[in-house]
Amino acid sequence: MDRSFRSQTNTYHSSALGNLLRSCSSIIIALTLAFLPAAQAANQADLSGSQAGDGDMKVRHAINRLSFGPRPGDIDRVRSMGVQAFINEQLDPASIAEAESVKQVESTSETAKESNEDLLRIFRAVQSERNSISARRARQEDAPKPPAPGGKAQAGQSALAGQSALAGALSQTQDPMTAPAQAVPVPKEHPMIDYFDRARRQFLLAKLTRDIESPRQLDALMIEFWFNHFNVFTEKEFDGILIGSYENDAIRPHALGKFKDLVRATCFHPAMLWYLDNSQNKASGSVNENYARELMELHTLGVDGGYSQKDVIELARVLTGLTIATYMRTGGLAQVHGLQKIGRQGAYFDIRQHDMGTKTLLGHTIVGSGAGEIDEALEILTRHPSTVHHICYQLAQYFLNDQPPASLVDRLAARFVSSDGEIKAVLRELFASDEFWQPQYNNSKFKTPLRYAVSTLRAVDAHVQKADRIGGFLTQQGQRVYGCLTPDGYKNTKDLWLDPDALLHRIEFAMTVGSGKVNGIDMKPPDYQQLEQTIGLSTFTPNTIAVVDKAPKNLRAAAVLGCPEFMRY
Amino acid sequence: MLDRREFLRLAAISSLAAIIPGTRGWAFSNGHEDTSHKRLIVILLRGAVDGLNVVAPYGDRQYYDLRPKIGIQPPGTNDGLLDLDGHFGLNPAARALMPFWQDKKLAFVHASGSPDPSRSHFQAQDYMETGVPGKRAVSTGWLNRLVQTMPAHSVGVRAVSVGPVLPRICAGPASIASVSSKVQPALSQLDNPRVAEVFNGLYADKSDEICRAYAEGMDAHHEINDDLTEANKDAEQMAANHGAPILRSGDQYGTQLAKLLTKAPSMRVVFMDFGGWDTHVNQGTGVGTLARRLSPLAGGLADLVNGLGPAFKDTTIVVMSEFGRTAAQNVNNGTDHGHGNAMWLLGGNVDGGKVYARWGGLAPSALYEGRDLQTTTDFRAVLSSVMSEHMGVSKAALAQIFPGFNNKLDPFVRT
Repeated sequence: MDRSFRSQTNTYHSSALGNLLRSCSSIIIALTLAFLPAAQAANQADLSGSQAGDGDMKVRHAINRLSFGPRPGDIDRVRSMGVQAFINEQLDPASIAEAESVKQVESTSETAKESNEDLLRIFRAVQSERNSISARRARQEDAPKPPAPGGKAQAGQSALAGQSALAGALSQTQDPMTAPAQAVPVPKEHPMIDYFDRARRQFLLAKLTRDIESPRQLDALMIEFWFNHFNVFTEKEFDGILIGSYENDAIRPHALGKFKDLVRATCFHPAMLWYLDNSQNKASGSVNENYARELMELHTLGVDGGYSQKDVIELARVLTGLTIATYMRTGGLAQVHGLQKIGRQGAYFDIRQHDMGTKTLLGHTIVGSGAGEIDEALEILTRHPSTVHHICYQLAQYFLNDQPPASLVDRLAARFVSSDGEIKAVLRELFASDEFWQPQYNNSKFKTPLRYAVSTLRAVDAHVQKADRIGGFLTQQGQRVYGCLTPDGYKNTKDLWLDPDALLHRIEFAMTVGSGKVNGIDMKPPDYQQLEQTIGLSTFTPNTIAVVDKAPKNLRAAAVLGCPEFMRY
Repeated sequence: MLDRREFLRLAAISSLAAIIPGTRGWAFSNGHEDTSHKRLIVILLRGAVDGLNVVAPYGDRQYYDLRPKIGIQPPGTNDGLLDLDGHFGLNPAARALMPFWQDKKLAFVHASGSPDPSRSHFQAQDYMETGVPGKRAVSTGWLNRLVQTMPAHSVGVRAVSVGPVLPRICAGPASIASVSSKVQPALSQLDNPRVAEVFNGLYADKSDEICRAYAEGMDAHHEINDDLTEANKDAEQMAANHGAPILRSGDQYGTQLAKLLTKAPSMRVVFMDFGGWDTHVNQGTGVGTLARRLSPLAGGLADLVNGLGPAFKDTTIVVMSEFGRTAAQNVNNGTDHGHGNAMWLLGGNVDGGKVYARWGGLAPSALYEGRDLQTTTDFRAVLSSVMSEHMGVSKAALAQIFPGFNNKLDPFVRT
């Protein structure tokens, strides 16, 4: 099972055709391997088990679990390169060239050009502008006369045309009273007013494009996993504009890296500090324990992790003073001056608001010293055995089964410890385990709405131009993107998602995709036989094949995409 | 849209169809015909609503000491509480409920909740939904176990959950249909008999739970659509909630639910939930964050009661939340997770106009762990009384619905 790509090449060299190609570079060999079925059979004999059917099942299982679902040609590609090579490839996303479409969407991000401090400022400015527009409209409706002094300038609009978005926003917040009243009957909206909405649409489009079109599928799956694990809610004021940075700066760089780096990065990101109210956790009076509680209960130790209410309070004391840069309406960096910057994502430490006493956290003493206490506390939390077990359990649940076998979780936990919490190492152990390949898990896990939508669009080789339709489907299913209200994030277990009404809506979605006409999606009307090949013919029961064959021609593709087998993976 | 009888006729004669009217894949039936029309509507407020600011004990001096910024002024003042019984007052944002208080159809059971100490939303909600607080591995919800004790109708959906995802409280073998929160007829491509035939064939294997869910969905879809089509024939405007469980002013959930129930007398158990109650910051008083959610909640309840008309006398509505919030406000003018809360009972049979509680007051020594309202009445005691007295559920059945619950204390006392 554990054959590396290099050893496959050596085997290939010993065949008749190997002599011809021995002098070629390994890259050429890698490319031509895909087109030489004779060599494949020799390579696959050890990997595929005693029957050809087993090999096919392993290929499909690997694709189903290490990606959102097969695209046309994936099964052939993985069969020819070998399952182990595929796993190795996916565990090393940097080795995979990113899709042009994904890079293109990412390049359109406006928010990526701004620091998070400036994004908060923009948010305030847009909010303020929206409020004044509403107020202006209300006044204009009341009386047909020029707006009272104090309304935002109209003259400023043309001056802003050549400026950056940020400069425009800043000039608005700094000059609320300077412009003379204008006799404009209907105020023209500032170009910035849509900034926020544009940003949210871009976040949605970027995420769905990545999930559907990026070849770095395991990476995409892990970004999704960690976002849910360290959930923030897009509707909570500032969080809406910070989602892009949170995902790209806090989560993505560490998605396959060290778990403790993830905890640290999310802890020092304004999106998390705002979402769980730590930006308001101050030593004066009673502390705000919201983030401390979820940091222990959800992010690290887990509900049963063996912490007490006192530990929650002590952790909250450690976190006092950890805040974000906020701007009062009168604008300015006053809030930020004098604060210690932590990390590079816009978290700040205000020692004046920090409880400098001694804390006792899970039996460890933390002497009051300032921001360094937070690192100490995070170290304690991430090393805790309950944390190790909690994370490994969740990974095994995400990749294998709603109730993962305890034997597997224990071995993953051991690997977690021996690798200092490296997720890549733990996943390598998972994908090499006997449990992972047991036939009972083949096509056994019920798809979440996200996975159902993405796997359907991958199967038809779709390209996303506008994400609204897909976003709407996910919202209707109860899994709005970035829209989980509660900090525990979206679960991936069947008991939450298998619902009669939602199932009917999935079938309607399958009908729409089967017709080839989905709003905002670039795709060809799918051919049902190609779909069966893409997904893997042996996925389907004889009953399904028969029903599809007998169905009216224009319903066959929808039947494949909407059948019970495709609701699982 | 296809007439239901016609659809069923077509389904029956198709060789691929396996839907038989009225039966469910796993419905429990004890063979008795159901003669009672009593209804239970359970509304769960997720996020721990601040019961002390919904039904505020203004008669306890400590209430204002503990809540200098968010304590609601006593009755008789501007924006003050609406007096209930001289000791407790109602948050003025919930004024839509006052007519029912005056009619003695509305009661509160204060300092009630779960005996379990957890202050985790998810764990506490879980316990309140499974009905076995403190026990982790319970996979069914108590509402489902209630439905299991009810005889299966030959026609009609017995129980409905409003929302896109079936919650834990409804989980279990008894069939509970889920209705989209739009609560309006959904035109589906599956109404087309050619389409239905294909998918009925694909989902024919009743040994597969996904196939059973499909059958369940198709049955409920048709029945509810028939009922809702009737209810909306006057083409009244339907304000959809777009799936969001957070109440906003103008939400029409009460009116929509009343219409549905009026047209579907078989529906005896309804579950709804709303979020957005976790007011850690800037909670407000009779105005502000909490009030903005309370107002449409109360308004919707009033719409529901008024919409039910004569059916209200056979209906009990229970509103509850997984725990309450700290007695004292926090430094952000909000409250944190607490313990005891107030349950609301609104119904034709309720002995209303009273705030029931084994009330210990808010002195520091009376508070749970020195910070929260005590729980002196178990939520299961309240629900058991409702189920036995209002719905005629037997003692033996109650033992199944709340296994291991042996508390004999009367929940409806005032001390």
